[in-house]
Amino acid sequence: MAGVSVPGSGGGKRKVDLHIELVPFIDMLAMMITFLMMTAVWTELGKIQVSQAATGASESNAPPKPTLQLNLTVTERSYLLQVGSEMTEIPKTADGNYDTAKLVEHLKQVKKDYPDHRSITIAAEDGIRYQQLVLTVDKCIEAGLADVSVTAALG
Amino acid sequence: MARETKVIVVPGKRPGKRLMRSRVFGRGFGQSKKETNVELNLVSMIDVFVLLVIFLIQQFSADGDLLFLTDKIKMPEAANYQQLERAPVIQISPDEITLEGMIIATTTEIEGQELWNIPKLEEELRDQKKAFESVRAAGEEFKGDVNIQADVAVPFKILKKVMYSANQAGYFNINFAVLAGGGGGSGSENGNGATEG
Repeated sequence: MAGVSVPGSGGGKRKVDLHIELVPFIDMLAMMITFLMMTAVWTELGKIQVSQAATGASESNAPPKPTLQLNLTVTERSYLLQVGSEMTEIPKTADGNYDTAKLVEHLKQVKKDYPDHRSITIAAEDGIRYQQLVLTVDKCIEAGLADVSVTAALG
Repeated sequence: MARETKVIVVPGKRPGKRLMRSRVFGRGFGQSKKETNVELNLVSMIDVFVLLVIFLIQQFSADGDLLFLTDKIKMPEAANYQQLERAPVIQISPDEITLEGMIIATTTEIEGQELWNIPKLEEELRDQKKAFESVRAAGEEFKGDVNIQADVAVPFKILKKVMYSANQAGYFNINFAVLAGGGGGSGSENGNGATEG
């Protein structure tokens, strides 16, 4: 296929024409492209780590009790945020969606007041969908509360 | 120099050698000046191939092997996520619960039960833990990780039973498998079905 031809110096018997075989190289590239296309992962996967808050019967090593009691309950109508003894209700917006912007705002305020606090316990009603739970956990992490526990106590 | 012989000849009239050499008659049958051999320029094609290979190698990720993506399970998106690691996978579709591909129970069956846990799931997870501890490499600790790959529409009632069973079996680090994305939009992807149930 491809070749490099060096003009002869006259009299030299050694062949200096270089012939590169491109066909196997193209074959190899075609095979690599096929393999990589077949094994390609077009969706990026991740994980959100949560722990399960103790429900009484659990024998897990419970984490040390936080100084601040920070609980978030997801009900079918609103978010209920409990900071210590203070309870705040964050109702759904007019279009029927949970007001996650307001939730993040409240959580950031808590984080500002208690900069060392990293944990939050989330409870949800039985009918709450997994997507809503993940979104809530995601928003808590976004607000700087990385240690998220999920409790089944409410249901 | 050796005389070149043509393998592919142009169709048409081909007179005999003597006639071709003739000054009078050979004119019309002379060698055509137009070159009919076509050479493919492979260099640019190889360039494209190499670029494609580099792009695909950059995209290559082994994360896809950790979870089996199926049409039955539509995973939620999240913006604040960590990299997924190898751990037992519990799949919760709207119809059934599976552990590493093995069917554990149907969701309707679980929803109707009053128990907090799912006994079969707990048992299988305990077996997996034992199996890990028996074959683990020296110095490798059991971290208690379990990946939950659930459909967006799965109710918390099912999820909490799965989580509780995992906890009882010794898997304390529960990871919700998510798709990267989300973008942090406020309330744009929520609430679908929260009023049902």
